[in-house]
Amino acid sequence: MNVGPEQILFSCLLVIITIALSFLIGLNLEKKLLIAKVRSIAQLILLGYALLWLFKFNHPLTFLLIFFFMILVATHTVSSRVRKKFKGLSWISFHSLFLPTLITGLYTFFYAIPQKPWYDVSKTIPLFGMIIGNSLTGISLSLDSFINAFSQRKNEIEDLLAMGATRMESVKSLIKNSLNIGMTPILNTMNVVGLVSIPGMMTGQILAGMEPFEAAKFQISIMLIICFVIFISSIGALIMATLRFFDANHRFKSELLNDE
Amino acid sequence: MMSEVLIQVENVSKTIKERTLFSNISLDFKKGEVFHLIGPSGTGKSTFLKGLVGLVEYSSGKVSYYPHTENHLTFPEIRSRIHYIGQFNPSYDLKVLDYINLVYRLEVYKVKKFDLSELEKYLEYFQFNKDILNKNLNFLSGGELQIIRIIRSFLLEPEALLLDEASTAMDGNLKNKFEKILREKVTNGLSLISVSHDIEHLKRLEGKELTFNLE
Repeated sequence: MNVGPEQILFSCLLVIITIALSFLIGLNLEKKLLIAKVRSIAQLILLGYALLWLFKFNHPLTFLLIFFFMILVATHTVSSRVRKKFKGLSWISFHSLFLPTLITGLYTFFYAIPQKPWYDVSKTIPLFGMIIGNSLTGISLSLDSFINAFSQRKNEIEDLLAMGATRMESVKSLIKNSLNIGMTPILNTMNVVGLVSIPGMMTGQILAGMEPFEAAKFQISIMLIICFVIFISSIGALIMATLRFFDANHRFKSELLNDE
Repeated sequence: MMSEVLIQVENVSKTIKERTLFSNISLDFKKGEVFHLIGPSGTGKSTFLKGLVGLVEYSSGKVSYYPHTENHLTFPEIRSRIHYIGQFNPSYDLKVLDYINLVYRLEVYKVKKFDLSELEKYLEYFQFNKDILNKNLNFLSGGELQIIRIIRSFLLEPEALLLDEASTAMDGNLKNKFEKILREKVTNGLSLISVSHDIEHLKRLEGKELTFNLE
């Protein structure tokens, strides 16, 4: 099986159909569709070339460089997905991504899905992409809901603090809720995986010729690793946000929500 | 014997975005004393009151707690002895009974035991039906919720109460009962600082006045 230029043209025919349909029904989506499609095509072609080139420098330094680049982009994404901005948001995004993904990644490459050598760029970078991407989604969801709760549940937080709650006690139920929100997508995926859909990575491996059972083993490992990294990076982000919004005297610094 | 000082305030000021709310206030808040903070709105009475238990940070000045005792108290410990009841009612999605029970799970109250009969005594005093304990907090009227918050505080037997417009939403009957029980508690040694627009209310509970003016 092969995807050559002609086959790509067949895929492009589908683009023309969607755009034509959008025009005929009057959806006004033509421009957005076109931009999104051109972007994704260009980005993926670039990614293909970039990876091809990077894989030539199979060295721990290459690995670290790409890792940092991905973390920076992810930091920016988390910061923009949290709707209520505050001073220190980027700091929290960065730190909640950095350590959890690095530790999880190294654990993966040494033990869970061992690579030889451990930094083998052609394997570790795609794996890291999955780890960081999922951690990013988890952090954005839980942090966004947490910060939102700070402004909506201000009276409840202060009611508890005023009665003598510590800062952790005053946000315990909010942390629980937000963590739940951050974990929901992965929990849903884990429950229906294989029943409704075949995960993207497994599909790719099967298409590339891997035996389904082998592909399944990979998928199981990846899923458990992702679940772990979402959990610890989200908890990390929520604890850092708590420390940011409450001082050592267990005072809620609600003024932080106003000066964006 | 000199009565014990609960909070010693020295020259505190508060400035928010270059606007001075109040400056250089000093105060010795002693056991059994009653203070009324009076003055037009926007002069920082509420901010000053909140700052007394560290829920707001003053811009300058010094606050000491129990200055004549040796041991250093943490803010949760201070707040478990000096209850601040703010003017905004919380809107937990909880039954009244669970709301009251919530605070018993806090570390500072681990020696306290929840006493249902004590709670029922208070409900009876305010002529509340026992069924109110099973109602969701969000279905209470503002006045009812203010009473529930007061009852929760009384159950934990604080040394002092800081009340910010604590009776504004109560009807006349509830207000009278509230004042009566507050007077009883003060006679028995409760210290009190209150912010209230209700001048009548002030006259009935004798105490010192601290006036706030627009700066």
